[in-house]
Amino acid sequence: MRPVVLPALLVVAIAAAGTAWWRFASRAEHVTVVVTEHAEAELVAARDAADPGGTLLVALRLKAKPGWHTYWRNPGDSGQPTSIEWRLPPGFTAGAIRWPVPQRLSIGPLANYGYEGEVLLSSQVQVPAGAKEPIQLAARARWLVCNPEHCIPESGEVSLALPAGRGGPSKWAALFDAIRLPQAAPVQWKLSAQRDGDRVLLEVIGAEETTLTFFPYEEGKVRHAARQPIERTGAGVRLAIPVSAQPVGEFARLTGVLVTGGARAFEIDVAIMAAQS
Amino acid sequence: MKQLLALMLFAALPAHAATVGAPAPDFALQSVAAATVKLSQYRGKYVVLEWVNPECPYVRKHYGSANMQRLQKDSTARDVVWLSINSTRAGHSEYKPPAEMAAWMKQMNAAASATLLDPKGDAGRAYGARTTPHMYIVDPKGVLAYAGGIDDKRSTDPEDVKTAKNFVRVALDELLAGNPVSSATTAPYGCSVKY
Repeated sequence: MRPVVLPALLVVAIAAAGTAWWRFASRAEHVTVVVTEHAEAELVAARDAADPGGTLLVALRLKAKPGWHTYWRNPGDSGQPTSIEWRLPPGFTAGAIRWPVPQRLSIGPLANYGYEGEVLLSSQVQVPAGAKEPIQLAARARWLVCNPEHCIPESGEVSLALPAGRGGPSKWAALFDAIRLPQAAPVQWKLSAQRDGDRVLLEVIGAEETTLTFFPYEEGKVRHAARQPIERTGAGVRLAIPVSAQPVGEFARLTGVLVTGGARAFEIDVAIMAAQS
Repeated sequence: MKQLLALMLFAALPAHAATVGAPAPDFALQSVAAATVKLSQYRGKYVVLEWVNPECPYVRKHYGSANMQRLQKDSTARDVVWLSINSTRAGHSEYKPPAEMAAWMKQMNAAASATLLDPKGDAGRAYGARTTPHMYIVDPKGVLAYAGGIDDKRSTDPEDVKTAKNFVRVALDELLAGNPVSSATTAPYGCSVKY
């Protein structure tokens, strides 16, 4: 070939290769899955790109091995909630963890609130208008993972790299859709609570549920393992919530999640009136 | 379903478990030295009850950092009785027979007045003990003066011991000075007691 063509071809080849690399990098998702002895953890997002000026739903996907569990924001009689320490690029902020409805896990005379198997602890992330690639979201996650025999504290550094842009639903979108968060209580319900000795009586006027379980957000107030008897009243139902023998601080409000027999879950926040004398 | 069965087999902790301000339940337990030890034999002294399980990472945080031993030593030096109690049921994988429990306490240079085994969980249930560690202080009249956590930093990180507020140390200082306990009921943290 004539000498001038070769360098030209080289320039074109390098340009083409550079363009191809850029396309690969923006589509690829660099993901690290942390695998510990009793769990696996990774950072996942509902979309496959971070939209500058928008929000992105991001979650810690934490999966305990069979027979093991991790904990809710109120772990119950023992244990420790999972914590997420975000490491985000400048201008990015992450909201509080949105805790899915937990299970009550009984162990002898005690009870914990948590998750067997997999849970997605999600947060809304604000993406700054000037966000530029590479966008690397990272976090240090710490969790306590237990089975009836042992408790092990574990942690992991998780990260997720995303391109900038609108993108589309990610491969984890279905997992995000399946997250069970408590909803607002039905508008027809009227809630009131009254202290009655070693119980708090929660009245729900307008409810027809035959089963209700209260999961308190506040620790150290409720006897977590005790039954919560329910009875029908003329106008609805009354749930008796047992108070701890060693309550920590004043029990002024019932804040937490009410779960029905049909597995619907509602967030409530009701002032507790003093016992009638 | 499993949870329902568990609930049926084991009642929750008693509604009338020990309460701060009320008489502390008496118990009679075997020490690791095969002596019978009753709480009531210490009437006239302050008694600290410490629920312990050597296999629990939260207990190991306090023993590995010598935090618990230091408090045991300082307390017993002030004529406070310290009873370490293990309510792990026999048959649980973390159960420690007397000789093994004694050996661990010795290895840790623990300074408890006695180490007691409660494999049937009677004492644990009477006190509503939920975690290891879970701490109580009984006053010389046999009244429960403190119930709750060892300190205010729920973690398994021994570093946190340095900056945590040790509720038991503060309560003992207040009681021995003749003052009321400022935080008489706090949140205990740790692994579940293995009833």
